[in-house]
Amino acid sequence: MATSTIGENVTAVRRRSFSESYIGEWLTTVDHKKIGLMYIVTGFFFFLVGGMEALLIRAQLARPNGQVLDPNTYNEVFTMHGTTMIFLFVIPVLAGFGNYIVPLMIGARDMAFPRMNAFGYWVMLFGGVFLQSSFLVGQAPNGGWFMYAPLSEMAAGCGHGFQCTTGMNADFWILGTTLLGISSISGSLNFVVTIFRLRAPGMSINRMPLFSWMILVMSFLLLFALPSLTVASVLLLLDRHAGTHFYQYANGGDPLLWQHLFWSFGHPEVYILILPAFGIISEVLPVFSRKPIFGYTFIAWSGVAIGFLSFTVWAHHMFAVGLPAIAQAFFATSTTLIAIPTAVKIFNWIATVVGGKISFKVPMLFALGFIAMFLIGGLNGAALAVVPFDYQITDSYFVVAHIHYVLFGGTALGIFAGLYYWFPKFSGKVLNERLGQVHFWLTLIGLNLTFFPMHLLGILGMPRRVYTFPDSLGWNELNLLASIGAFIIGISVLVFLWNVVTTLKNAEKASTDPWDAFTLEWDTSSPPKKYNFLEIPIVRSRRPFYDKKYPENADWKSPLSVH
Amino acid sequence: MSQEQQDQEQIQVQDAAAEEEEEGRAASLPASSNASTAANTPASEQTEDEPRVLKKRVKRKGRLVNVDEVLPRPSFWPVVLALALALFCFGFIWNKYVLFLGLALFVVAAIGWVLERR
Repeated sequence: MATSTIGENVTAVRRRSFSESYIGEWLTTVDHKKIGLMYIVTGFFFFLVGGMEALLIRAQLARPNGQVLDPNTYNEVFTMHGTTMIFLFVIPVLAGFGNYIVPLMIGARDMAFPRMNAFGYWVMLFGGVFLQSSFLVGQAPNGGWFMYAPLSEMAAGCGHGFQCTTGMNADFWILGTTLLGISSISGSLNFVVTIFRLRAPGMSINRMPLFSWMILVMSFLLLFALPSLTVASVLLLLDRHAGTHFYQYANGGDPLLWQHLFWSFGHPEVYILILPAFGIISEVLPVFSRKPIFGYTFIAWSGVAIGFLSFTVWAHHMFAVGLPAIAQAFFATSTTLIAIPTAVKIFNWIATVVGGKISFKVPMLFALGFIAMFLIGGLNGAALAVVPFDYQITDSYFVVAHIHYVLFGGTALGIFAGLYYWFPKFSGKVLNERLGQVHFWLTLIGLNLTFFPMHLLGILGMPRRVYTFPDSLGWNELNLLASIGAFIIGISVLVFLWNVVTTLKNAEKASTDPWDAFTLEWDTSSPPKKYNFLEIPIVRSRRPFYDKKYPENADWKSPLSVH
Repeated sequence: MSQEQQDQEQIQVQDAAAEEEEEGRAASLPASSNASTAANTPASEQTEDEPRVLKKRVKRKGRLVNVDEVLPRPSFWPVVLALALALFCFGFIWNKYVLFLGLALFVVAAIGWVLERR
């Protein structure tokens, strides 16, 4: 029952509604903070699922002629590993950070469309359940996370030397990713409108925190890239069930059409996965260097440049399919060009740290680790942009090394930096520093041990997606090293989970601003009240909370600072 | 009116004036008092019989609003609409009756969402 006082000494009693019960509160919430937490927790659950799949893959490949998984199950496991990690871990967790933090950062009370926000989360959850339920019926997607045609076609696409997927495997993938695409689109629309329309007075676009900038660019990328995937998926569904022939060579279609449509989504997608992590690093580095970010404008607009350029590079995933030389030259050029704004960011981050009073707390360790690991991933990516080199190592383990350095060494380390940084805001408690250090070093060692040998495996000729390999090719030791590294990463994740559980149970309440941070989300209680701010703040610089705490050194007073 | 009652009226008015400053809106005064008349009467002209009103400068800070007036109310239509889409997809794979159930639930949820009073 709920009570309310309606007058002096008069109390009304009424039955508590469903949305006031514990479960009802979470089921019906439209509060951006609760939705953000749900995204993050659900995303981490799927991180564990995808991680288990990774450990199965590495267990199978630890030794030659492995017997852990049969070939068909192996196909399902590596497909679901990629699909789960990309669509059910990275995007939801980044969306969760965006949902929780962006309204607080820009001084808003909530997102622009609260119900659509909730809808985005629930569609993501049900989409994830739908995808994972494919294992229960033994028909998990098995054509790789990019589900190439004609392998993903049904019976009509078969024959003439082509294998295809006669079961429901590909349908699970198509419908599951469509559901997840709906979730992403609703979230993106919300972010765009919120960021453009609900910023606090005085917070021009030029004073907005860089994390909000990157979420804005990510949202535009999602809005423009997802239609390509949706179209590709619908055409594949029609081919499989309605007798059309869009991707069937034997019936006048073109399998390459799938690749063009998919990678028109797929390449912007990888920038969708990395840009918010760039934003997190851009928030963490200044706070733990006790300096404003160096080159704010360059970092912000290089993100925008990456967003535009990401739509011009898709065919670098297709260098080996027989494109005309002029097309290959164009895409090689555009791919090399996109390294420039990324390098601008890296130089600005380094300049932020240099000369600062650095505090090597765990968020900072993960941020510095991000820079180093993403640099490696970016360098081997630049190598892949060279067409003759790509001819040799496309579809080999060199590419696996690249994607994991940028996605695990990049995005995942960025996510952990954000988690350690904002955990006090979510919960009112700081994660244990010692356990965090153990987590960081185990992760760094594990990821390098797992993925660095894959560069060599790729150059030595080991293809992707093979379920085993013979004894005589010289790949044994490198694969064993990679598998040991994967299990070290697994241990690091357990350390992290232990840290979270013990902190939530036993740690003392921390201050509302444990890091002496700069941005508005720290000017609230931890966790923030339902309404975020009692009074919407007026912003006069890029570091409004810093200005409030140190008015004598406020940025808006300094003639040297651009504010 | 006895001195004690006059003092009581004054406290009430003072309290009302303090409340006005705090909440930025006119506080309701006891119906039995003559304070409304007294409030409009300059102090120099107030007699001993009228309660003395302390006129304070009132800073109008704006009305304090209830959290529920500012923030959107909870809603179950998002989860119902999401469930409808999921049922539609499950039905596509599994059973056409589930597909039609999903479709029907989608229509109901869409109408409910649009018509929900916020």
